Amino acid sequence: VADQSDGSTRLERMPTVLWRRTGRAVLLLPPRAEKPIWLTGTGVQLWESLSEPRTVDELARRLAREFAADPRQVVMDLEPVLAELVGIGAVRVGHAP
Amino acid sequence: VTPSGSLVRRAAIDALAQGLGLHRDPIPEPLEPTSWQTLLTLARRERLEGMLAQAVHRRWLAATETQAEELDALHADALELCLMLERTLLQVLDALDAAGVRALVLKGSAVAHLDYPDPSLRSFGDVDLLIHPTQLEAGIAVLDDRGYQRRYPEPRPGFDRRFGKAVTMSAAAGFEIDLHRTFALGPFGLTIDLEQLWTQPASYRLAGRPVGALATRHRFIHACYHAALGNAIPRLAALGDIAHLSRSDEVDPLEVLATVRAWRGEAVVARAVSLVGEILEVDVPGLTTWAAGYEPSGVERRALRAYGERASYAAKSYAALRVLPGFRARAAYAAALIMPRRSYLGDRHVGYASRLQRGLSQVRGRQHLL
Repeated sequence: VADQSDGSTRLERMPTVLWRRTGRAVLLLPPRAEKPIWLTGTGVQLWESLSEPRTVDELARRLAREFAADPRQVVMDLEPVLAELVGIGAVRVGHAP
Repeated sequence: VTPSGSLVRRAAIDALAQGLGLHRDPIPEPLEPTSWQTLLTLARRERLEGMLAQAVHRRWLAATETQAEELDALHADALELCLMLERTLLQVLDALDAAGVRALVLKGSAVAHLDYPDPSLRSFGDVDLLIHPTQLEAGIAVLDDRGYQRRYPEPRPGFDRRFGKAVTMSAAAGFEIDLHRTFALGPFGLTIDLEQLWTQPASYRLAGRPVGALATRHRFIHACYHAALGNAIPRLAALGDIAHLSRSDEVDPLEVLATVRAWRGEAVVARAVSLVGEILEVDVPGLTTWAAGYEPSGVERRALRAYGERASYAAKSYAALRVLPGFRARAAYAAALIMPRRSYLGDRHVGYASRLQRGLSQVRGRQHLL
């Protein structure tokens, strides 16, 4: 996802995903998934942040601030997660108008 | 109920009430292991996983780290089921839409999304749809095409459309879907103005798709019917629904009373509101005082008894005869129940004679208890 990013690439939740949250996890059921998929740890905040379209950098900055982490490290951690979320149809990639 | 069990139940009820924004003294120390396990069992049975998880999250209910993890896991299990049910719901709604059959979601998903601040707070375990009586047969056919089968055959052709409460459809590899015509079996289900339920329904979005539901006032009334006429002891979550809905600006007590008066359902709402007061110790704004002073008529008392702890299908059916308008309707109803088609009987009763005998003995037994 980050590889495709040119600064205007934005990610957001797919509206077709059914989801719920517990105190420690977010459960997602995208149309193509057989069973609910769990996001835990920072994945919960990531899902919250995806409530509106954001670039990978914006997402990383938000999470880095929240968890007092290095934004560059967060970007690296985010990439495989976002790629998987896009792959299962939970997140979509768009461009800023 | 053991002393420990009653204390745990009280804790669960208080957790539910504080979730409504009402003051309840917090539980500052974690429960000991046996009581905690009792609480988890109760949470699952009463569908309170979300409200209890919220109480722990808000530190109203103290819990050890392990207890909090156990409750979270229980909550997640319940929510996984909700998600799978909502997927089924969407598939069924799409199929009904394609066939031109209108449907409104009852209870479960609709109440979770429309009446709670977060749908994760309200878990549910089935899918219920209201279908217009004139489209009930078409709705059944749609599910039949998708591999669902009726759990019980229709007693006689046209019975579901005229008198039935709901038709349960089940699939070998899936969940059961209840296609409702009305809110309740028996007398109170037959006096509801069903056309009213279809005027100005509410809507919510599920996976990006608009989904129809009852209007807020009708959701409140339905929650009352469900709590008062469903299980002998209603689930705490069902009573919680009434308490939640009653706090909506869209539920005007005077309009509620006017509606249920026209439906001859005042006794039902009075019983439900009283149960909320007795069990949850929560007021239903504008209705608690009215319910406390409501005196059911003799007819209403007899009808309510048909839904009591030892209620039988036959007793409800017998009570329903009293409210059906006109001789023809009563005759058709009685004939369907006393002499149904062979396919309806299946292996439950071997023939008409035994069914008649069983039905009469249930009614007699019922009356003997009155």
